[in-house]
Amino acid sequence: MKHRWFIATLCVLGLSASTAAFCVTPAKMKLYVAATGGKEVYVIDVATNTVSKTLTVGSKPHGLAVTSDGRWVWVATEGDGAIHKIDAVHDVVADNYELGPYQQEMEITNDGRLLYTGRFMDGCYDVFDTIKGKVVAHLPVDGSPHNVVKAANDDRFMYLAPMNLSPTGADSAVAAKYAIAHGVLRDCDGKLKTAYVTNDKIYVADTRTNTIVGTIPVGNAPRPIVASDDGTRLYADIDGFLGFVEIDTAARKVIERVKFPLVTDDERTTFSRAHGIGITPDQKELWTNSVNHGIVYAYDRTAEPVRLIARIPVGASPYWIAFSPDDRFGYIALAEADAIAVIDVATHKVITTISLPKNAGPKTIQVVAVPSE
Amino acid sequence: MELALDRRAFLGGGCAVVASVGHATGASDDTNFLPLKSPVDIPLSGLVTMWEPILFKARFTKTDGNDSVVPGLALRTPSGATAICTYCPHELCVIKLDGENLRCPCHFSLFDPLRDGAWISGPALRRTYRFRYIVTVSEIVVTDIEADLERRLM
Repeated sequence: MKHRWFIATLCVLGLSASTAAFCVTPAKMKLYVAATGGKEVYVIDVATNTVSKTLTVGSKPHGLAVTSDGRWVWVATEGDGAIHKIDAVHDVVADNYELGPYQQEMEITNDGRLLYTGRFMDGCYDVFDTIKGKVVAHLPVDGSPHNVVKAANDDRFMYLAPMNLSPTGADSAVAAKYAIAHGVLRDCDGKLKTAYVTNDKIYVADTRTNTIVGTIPVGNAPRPIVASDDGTRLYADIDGFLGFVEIDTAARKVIERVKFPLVTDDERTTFSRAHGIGITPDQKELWTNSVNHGIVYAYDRTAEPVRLIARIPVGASPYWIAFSPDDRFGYIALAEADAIAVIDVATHKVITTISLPKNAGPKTIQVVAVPSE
Repeated sequence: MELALDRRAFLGGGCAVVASVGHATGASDDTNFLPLKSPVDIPLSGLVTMWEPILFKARFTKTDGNDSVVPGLALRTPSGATAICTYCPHELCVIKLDGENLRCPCHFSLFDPLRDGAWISGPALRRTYRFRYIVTVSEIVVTDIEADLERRLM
């Protein structure tokens, strides 16, 4: 969980101590949707499950990062290589910064100062200082930078998860050859690359020094990842494995490989892949998706090893996951349906679906407890 | 075709697409195919309206002995009746008909149904995996699937 549900506004009414009354205005819950099919971020009022605002930010919004106070939402737009700072109270774009092409996912330190963002074609994560308004460090990696996470309660480390140009080595090699020929593969300093090295590990970056201090081999390219709030565990979808891996962050190694159970003939014979992973705010459940099978799997994290407790059919292409900070709802971006499925966490049932415009292409989603003015 | 070299569209033209424009059969070049377990018959009577697809599934046996089911789409276009595998070659998401294009919902590769699934733009690099099929007076009969797909399904 990246942001907290402790935001409240204390207001004092009345003119004297004897008549003073205190009220607490709860934070307003909003779901931010990076819609990669166009230029928009959709803001959904989770009280009504309707779009309350559409923000035009830039071409192909992809990654979201939220300050821990819920005040600011950062959006990366890969089509124009920029990041955008959204004022979550007023839902307006407050600032824009051009960082270079192919911006992907992002994560931000708990003090809101440093933003880590991956440049897909450049083999490089940038560290952007939000106060200075500029990149202050580069983190070179193998593969194609895509995902990055931290633990909500411990931001000492950022976990960088570069994917590859394609899910197989042979197809990545073809894509790399073409990209090199067209001059779109570069290193952190902007120099053209002459070779592409695929990635099969998660990088550990120390936020105090902004250096890579370790790696965690996962066997293939890591895809979406999530950290437990206490930072002791990472969970990752990886290419070529229909399931997920559990990682002990202290040991920096995979301790479980959990396959999705394939129950029906359709599941056994139809290709699928895991994409999208999240932990409920109470830390009890881990959810992750089987994209082509249209299923969200919920696992009990209090069991060792984790135990499957629900299969939640959501239709086609579940892709990214978010939870409401009060643990009531899970949200699943349905890329194929241009919609968001809303799931009751207690019953593991879909209770409604929020429709987005055709070809919106919802990707990363985040529920934000936005403070009052 | 998108000209901007972004992540989703940087593969501008390098994929040596060899789409068969002719639709009476799905293959006339050196593409290797694997036979379906049984042919899929799609009646042309169900394809009366242009651009209204019929979805189907085709099953074949992989070399490891396990079956795999492949999604497909039959369609009547101004070029004629066609059968197209709807796995996107990029990450095997299932592509959909969007107007007169085939569009992947995951990373937005575009393919041309008028040219039997030829690649237009996006990270897929290549045309859709091919079916071998014939068009008779009354139906499309799909008999084989491109062998290269098996590599992705193993």
